[in-house]
Amino acid sequence: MSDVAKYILKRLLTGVLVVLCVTIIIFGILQAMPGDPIDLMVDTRVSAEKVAELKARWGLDKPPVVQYFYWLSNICRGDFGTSISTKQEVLYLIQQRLPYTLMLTGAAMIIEYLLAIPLGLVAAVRRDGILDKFLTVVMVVLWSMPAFWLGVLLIRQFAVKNSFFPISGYSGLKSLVLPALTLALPSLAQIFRLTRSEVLDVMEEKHVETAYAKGISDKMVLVRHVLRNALIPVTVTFFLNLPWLIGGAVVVENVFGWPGMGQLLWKGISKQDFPIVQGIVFVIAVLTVICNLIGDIVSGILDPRIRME
Amino acid sequence: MEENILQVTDLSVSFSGGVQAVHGVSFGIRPGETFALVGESGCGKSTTARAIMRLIRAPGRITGGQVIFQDRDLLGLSNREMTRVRGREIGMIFQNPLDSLNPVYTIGSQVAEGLIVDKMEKKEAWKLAADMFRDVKIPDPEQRMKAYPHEISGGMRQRVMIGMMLCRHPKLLIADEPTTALDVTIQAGIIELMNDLRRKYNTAVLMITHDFGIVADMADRVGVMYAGQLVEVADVFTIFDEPLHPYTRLLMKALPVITKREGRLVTIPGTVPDLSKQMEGCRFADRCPDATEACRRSVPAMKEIESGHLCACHLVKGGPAHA
Amino acid sequence: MKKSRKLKLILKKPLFLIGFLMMAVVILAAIFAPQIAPHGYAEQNLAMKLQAPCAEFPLGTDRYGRCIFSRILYGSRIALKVGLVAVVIESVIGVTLGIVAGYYGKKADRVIMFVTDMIWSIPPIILAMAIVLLLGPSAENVAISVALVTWAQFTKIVRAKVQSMKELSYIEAARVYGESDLQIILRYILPNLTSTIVILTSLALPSAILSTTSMGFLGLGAQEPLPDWGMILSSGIEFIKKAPWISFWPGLAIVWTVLGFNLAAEGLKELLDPRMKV
Repeated sequence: MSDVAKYILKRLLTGVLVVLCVTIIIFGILQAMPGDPIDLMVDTRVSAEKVAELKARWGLDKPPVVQYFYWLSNICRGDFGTSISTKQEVLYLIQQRLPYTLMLTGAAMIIEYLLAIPLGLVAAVRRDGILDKFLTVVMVVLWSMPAFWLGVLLIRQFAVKNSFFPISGYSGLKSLVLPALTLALPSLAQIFRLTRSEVLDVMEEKHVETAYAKGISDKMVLVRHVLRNALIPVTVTFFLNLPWLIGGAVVVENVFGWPGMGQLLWKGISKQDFPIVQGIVFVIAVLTVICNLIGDIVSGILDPRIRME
Repeated sequence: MEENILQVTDLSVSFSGGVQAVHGVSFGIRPGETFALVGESGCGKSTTARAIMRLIRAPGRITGGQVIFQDRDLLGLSNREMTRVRGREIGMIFQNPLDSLNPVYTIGSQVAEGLIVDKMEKKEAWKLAADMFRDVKIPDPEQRMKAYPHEISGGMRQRVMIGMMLCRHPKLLIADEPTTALDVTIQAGIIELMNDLRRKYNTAVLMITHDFGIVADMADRVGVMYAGQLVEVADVFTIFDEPLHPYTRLLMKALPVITKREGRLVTIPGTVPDLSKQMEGCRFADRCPDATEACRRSVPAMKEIESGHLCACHLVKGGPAHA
Repeated sequence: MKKSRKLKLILKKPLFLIGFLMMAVVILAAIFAPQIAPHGYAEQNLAMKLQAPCAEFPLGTDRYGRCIFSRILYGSRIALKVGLVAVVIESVIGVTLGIVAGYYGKKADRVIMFVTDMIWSIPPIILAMAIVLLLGPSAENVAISVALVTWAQFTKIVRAKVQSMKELSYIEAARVYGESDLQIILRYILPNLTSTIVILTSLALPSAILSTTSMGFLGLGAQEPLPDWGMILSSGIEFIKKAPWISFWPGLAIVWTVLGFNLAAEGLKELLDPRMKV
């Protein structure tokens, strides 16, 4: 088991490195902004001494490299500053909204995984059959569909015409259904297609013939030897694509007025509220790195060959 | 004469585009005997083996014939019945031992899987699998069973395959070029192991190979295939010493005399005919040095020239037509 | 000869043919927008605001009484232009870095692959939003920002392709003859990458259009009164009960365009390199 531990440690270090680089990018964008954050944060009536004091607290009187480390250490302590528009702690704002974003993306992930893989498997088994062709067409259409439009259609159908679900906002689990579907359906196609093609590839592999020759039943071969092996690349891709799903959540939250980070981010951008934007981008970067790490670990568990590298 | 354990009659397999990969092949295997099917690559010998196990995949299709195994026609069984024959009554090992094992399971669990299918307790299955590992001369079985296929050598993998397919004591083992992908130095060990085990368990073996060294080492009887058809069947000594069919004779001539045991098939002038075309006469006629008009007109029937020596050639006279 | 037979085969598959036709409709709409459109895209008529589809306004009007149909027609120009610019920038960056990483290997490869992995691990829309925040919202900046976050998909595939090409004997031979790296890349490597690049670009175009309309939806793209499809759609959400057509039709236009380009790209891939994995 020790090579598993080593493997995880290596992945963890890479993840930390990626987060560090993301902070450099965010900081770089911030530096490139016209004016500095303090000038934007305070209004003109604040005295020059007060501004200087604030700048010193944020280290803005120091060269950029030193500033970066000030900024980084603040962030590591959870101090993302205060929002320019609402004057609230950014950390507090994020803490309030993070659970909703996690709920939405988590639900979408589960829908995606539970729908795409069985459908991909069925399409592969019934290759070139009517069901396969039908699913392929449906998936291309879903893949071509902007999430925000799908959201509008679902709202129109299930919330306006007959009020099965609330139109927007969060009011219990029922209001999760439409946003989660909207987020999951367009990204379903990729996992579906990958599952289908991987299953077809694995079916061609020699060890599947061995399994048949051993007298394993068709169903068991399909599950134990074909799907099990196909799941490795599918799972890796699934986790690699999570950033796209989280990005999609930003759009979907705005369609449904979902009280998550995406909506907050959008408000922050439209009001040029930099502390909010950096805070959220940082949190989302950490989230995606965690997701990728989980993906690496899961694929390491699924595939004994990876652990050897 | 004992009754054949496997009797293949008039077996034909087609692929898309009308390619007749196997055409009217008939032969029998007696209990405990090793029958070698030899021929150039693409002559249909592997396809014949897969057809017996009903492992032909679309677009391939078994188009006719019978495969009688212990009084049942395997081609008439339902899928579920056939599943129960595979592995339990007929085992099969393949050419490339790396690709033939599933990379994500330990070798022990892959050997035990077949036993568990037979409703054996997991613990007992592992114990039996460990015994089998000892049988195929893998040192330190309990430890090795936890290894993954990529962690052991090619020769070791083929030993695992042999153990996996013999641990349920099938009556027949089909071996499809089991040593081709291995180093020459390792081949001998695998052949020796197979010889030991088939005697120990009295298993009949259908050996698919293009290597006459292996034929000499293992086979009791030999069938020679050319372009999807069986052209000659005889016991191993007769095949080497008194081949009748022009194709077999050319094959034998192509073998270096002294090192017959190591010899491999050397190509004969001309090319194997296009199997997608409909053929009138003997399929070997275009490459045969002695071909006559008759050879190009009609397909030669299999005839029993002497007792136990069958040949399908217009030029070889004598013997009644064989069913 | 062989190619034309293949082309016939593909045209026989209805999906690809449909894709090409859908694509043609969008391109024609973009070219002839001024001739087809019954109104100007910014033409307001407050007396006719939130009109349901009728003879004068085939797809209804928005809150300012502007003709949705005309706005969608003119909007096709923005959607195509922004998508195209994004894909051109993204393919140039991606292919260049892919060739450098694949051809030179070693340190260059490691640095480029690290950057690529990093880009992959930040949600692209969010990074693009941050870039637009920096550059200011406009159609051009959306194209740039989408390009800056999506080039990595080109790099990965081009790199793998170049790595396998490097082993080819005629490239080894060219190196032995003393041809410079640049000559080898331009004369041997780039021509062999053509079909890969064409396939990748044609597949990237529809997803670039999708991403740029998402940015438009968030209000980061072309600004009013320019008719950005995403923006028209988002402006209709508050009228979803009273005037659903404002959101419905631009969405359909996006699906139509993206689907058409996707199907056509699949056809192109089938024609050039059916085995390629994307």
